[in-house]
Amino acid sequence: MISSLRMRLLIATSLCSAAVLALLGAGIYLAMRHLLLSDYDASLLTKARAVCATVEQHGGRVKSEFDPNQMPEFSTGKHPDYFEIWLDNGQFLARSPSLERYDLPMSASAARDIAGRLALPHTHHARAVILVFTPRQEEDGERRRAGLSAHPPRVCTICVAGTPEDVERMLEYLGWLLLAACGGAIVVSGALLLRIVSRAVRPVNELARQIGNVRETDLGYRLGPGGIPLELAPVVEKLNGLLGRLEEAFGREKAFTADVAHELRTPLAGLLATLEVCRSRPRGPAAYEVAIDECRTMTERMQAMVENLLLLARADAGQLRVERQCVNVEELLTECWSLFESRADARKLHVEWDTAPDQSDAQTDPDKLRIIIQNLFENAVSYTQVGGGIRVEIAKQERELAITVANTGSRVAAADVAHVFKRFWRGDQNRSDTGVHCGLGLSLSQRLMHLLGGELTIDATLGGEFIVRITLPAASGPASGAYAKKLLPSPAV
Amino acid sequence: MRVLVVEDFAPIRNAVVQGLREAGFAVDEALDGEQALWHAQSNEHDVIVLDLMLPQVDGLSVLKKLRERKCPAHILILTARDTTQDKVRGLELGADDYLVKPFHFTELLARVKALVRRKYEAKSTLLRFGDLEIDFSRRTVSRGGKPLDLSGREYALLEYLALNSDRIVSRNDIWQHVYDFNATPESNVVDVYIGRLRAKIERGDRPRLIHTRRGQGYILGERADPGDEP
Repeated sequence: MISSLRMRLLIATSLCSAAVLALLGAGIYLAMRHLLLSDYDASLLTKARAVCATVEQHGGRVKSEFDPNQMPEFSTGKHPDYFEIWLDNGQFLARSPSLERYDLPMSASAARDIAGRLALPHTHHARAVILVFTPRQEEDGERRRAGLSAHPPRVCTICVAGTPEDVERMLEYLGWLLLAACGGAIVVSGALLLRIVSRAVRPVNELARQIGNVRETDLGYRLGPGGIPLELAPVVEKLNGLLGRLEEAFGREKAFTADVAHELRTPLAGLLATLEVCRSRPRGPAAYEVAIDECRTMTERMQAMVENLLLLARADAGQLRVERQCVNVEELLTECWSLFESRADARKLHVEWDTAPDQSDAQTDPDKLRIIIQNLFENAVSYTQVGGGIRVEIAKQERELAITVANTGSRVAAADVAHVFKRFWRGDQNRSDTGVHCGLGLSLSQRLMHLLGGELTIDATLGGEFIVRITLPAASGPASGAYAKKLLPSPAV
Repeated sequence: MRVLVVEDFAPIRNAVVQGLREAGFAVDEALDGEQALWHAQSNEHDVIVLDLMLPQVDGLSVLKKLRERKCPAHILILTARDTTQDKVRGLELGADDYLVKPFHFTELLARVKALVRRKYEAKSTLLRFGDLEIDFSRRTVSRGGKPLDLSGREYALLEYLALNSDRIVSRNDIWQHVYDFNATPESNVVDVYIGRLRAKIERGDRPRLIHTRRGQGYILGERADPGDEP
């Protein structure tokens, strides 16, 4: 397989043009041959008629008055013509001197059979015409006058043959001429085609050059439509589309990296500043305690954020394994809530539980579900206004379990619900919670819910309720109740 | 020297404010852009340390507004954004310096001090008035080769007088730049501080360096003026 488009086009077009030229040449050759041979045959026929005129019938006798001096072409020579005449009974009448002792075929079929193989002196490929004729009658006036019936006319057959030497030379010449013309035409057309094909594939090279110009640092580049032929337009369009998607993805990646950098640098800066200022001079134990507590809080939050980032990255890379077991969701929710109880009390939050322990078994991965629930509780406890309310519900439906965590005082408007799943998006874009919440919780929770085969949906009205609803496949059997109680770092992210 | 620290992340703000105060600066703090604008309007700061990602009004808008208002303070941007683009934008909008988080507090302190010197057009870190020597980088004062033991406030007051030694500084100027109490100054409070400072640097029969101009304020220098009060 030839990989070059140009060579492929060139070879295909060259072969086609060679075949067409060969056919054309052969046609011309055959037509010319036919024309020339017919002409030669006609001349043989004329000669035959001339010879016929020398045959006379005298009464019942037929004789040839052929005079070799008058028709020298039938005498021996380099390329003589030949003739032989027979009577109707097949009796030999006359033959040309050139024929010497050889015979010519008597019938057309015999002539056709031996065409080209006539055993003749001086030649091996002759053409022959056969003519059946009635010789001129020399009647004697006595018999006609006596009313006697004339002798019935005799029928003779003449075969005239000759070597079409000139015709053959001409045909040979013509053949070489045509061959040379075709060969030349093929060479010239090949060269022309090479140029044409090269020109035709030039846009491909141009396109390749443009694609070569695309740098990963400048994905805003688009392939220009100028000089691109119609056939390549879809390719260019698709490539531009691909570039667009790449640019978008790179942009998202860049924004994500910038966000991660900001979210990690801010607490790091806090740590560094706190530690440095604390160490800048001797202090009392109380001052050190305050500084150490601050540093611990910042470290814990950074750890939680790094954990969430790692989880997200692993989920994105498809590295998170789901290990399902029968889980009592009510038990899990209570366990998770215990981490937030004191904070909820401190903020005077009113908490409403609507759960039934015997109606809350689900077949799911408790570790992943715990992360989700802790994220939801963290958000609810942090974002509900002081004195507000949190509502936790478990509802068993036909084949699934719906868990609702809702809080009052939503900071997210209904129109912004779609944004809450974006990484690092926060209802308060001014980042009043730097170092506390960085907007990964809901994104991670949704990602994990999808892994668990469930759904996470959000309903919100600005200032009203912020409702997160997750649905899980319900368990068929009763919960074992015993699952690994592994505490995860505080999801304050 | 009075500094305004604008930072929404409490641990950074607390540490920076404490560190600057301990270095002898009068410090105001703002949690968001709105507070920053209010502080900048109601007090005259020498340096503003400004975070960019702020609640309410973001840092760059604060910067723009301050420059529109012809705020004379030197502004240092303290942010986690580290691209050249961000730095250029900040400096073009009128910031005087840019420091990326995480940062070393010692570097922040050095830069704040450098900005103060720049504001008062003092290139050198060492100023001399007669036999009084003030070393800004080490924050030490000596007279006649003998080191003097000044408190943070006393040093700050002397530093302010030294950096403005080409003019008479009013009691209000001193109040604004040296003390971070958000209260109306009472002239005798400043006089008390001046008195304490004098007691330390003009102890014994050394020539007077801090001169009082009646009804105008104080000036630091060797030369006495006929109008000076004793």
